[in-house]
Amino acid sequence: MRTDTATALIAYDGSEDAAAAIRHAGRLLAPRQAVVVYVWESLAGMLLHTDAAGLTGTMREAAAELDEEDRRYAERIAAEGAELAPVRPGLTRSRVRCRAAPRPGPRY
Amino acid sequence: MTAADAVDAAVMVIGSRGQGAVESALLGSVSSGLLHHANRPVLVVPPCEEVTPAGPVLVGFDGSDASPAAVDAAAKLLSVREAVIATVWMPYRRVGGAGVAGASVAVVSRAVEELDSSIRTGAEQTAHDGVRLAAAAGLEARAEAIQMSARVWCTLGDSAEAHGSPAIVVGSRGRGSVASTVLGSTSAALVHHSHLPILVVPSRAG
Repeated sequence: MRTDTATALIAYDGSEDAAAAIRHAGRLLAPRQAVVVYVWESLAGMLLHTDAAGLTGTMREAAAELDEEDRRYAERIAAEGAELAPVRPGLTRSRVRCRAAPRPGPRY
Repeated sequence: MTAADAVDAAVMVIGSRGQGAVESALLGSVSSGLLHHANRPVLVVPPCEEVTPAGPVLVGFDGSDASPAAVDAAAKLLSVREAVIATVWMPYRRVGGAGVAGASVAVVSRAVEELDSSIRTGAEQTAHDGVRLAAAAGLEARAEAIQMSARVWCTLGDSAEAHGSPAIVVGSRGRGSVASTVLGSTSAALVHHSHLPILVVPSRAG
């Protein structure tokens, strides 16, 4: 009576432990679609939560450029994570999720 | 968790340690935070062997509110179709039984034996209740009432290893948990210490 084929959300940060977790989950879970998520910090988002009085347009533009670079990196890592789930046909879709947290922190 | 909500994920999968985790920490801060706040099942995968054991999945079943959800999640989410429904019971001596002043040793011993027998019978009944739920959910399950060795999580872990289980499924909060905590002591200890993947299921999941 296996009726649940809803999505599995898999967190991936590019580490070897996370890669092993994806491979292991592919063997443990019943067939289902998977979304691989890599969470990254948006610098522009963080700046929104700081005192904006001293920020120049140049700094905002630089933050936007860095964000774009980070986004491309995040997409690459998430796609790499999706490639690690080869066991089930459905475990191949990747998605990047942006966390616009107000404080800096480790990427995950 | 926002991403999980966005896709209405049936389960979230996380490694027990991420890049941001301190080298010495057993469970990454992200994993720990997710477990304490998730409103859906979370599969925590420790660094483990590339070969998945072929035995039955071990479901910890203590009869608490989260127990039926744990059985349901095991049936719906995992590929393995065989399960051991494990209820851990604690003999009276471990609860803190002591000699009774003025009573004969023989009388006390007999009373304790009867009490232990009653506790074990109750655990067997609880495990069989879990088996009925598991069978209804499509699992081929058998009941096991296990006398506690050191702690509940150790007992479950040892049993899972003995059965060659590929994973352990537990409710996020069992009977022994403080009502205000989201993650019970048994589920928390398992995800911190077990070498097997742990599926933690909140009572409102499934």
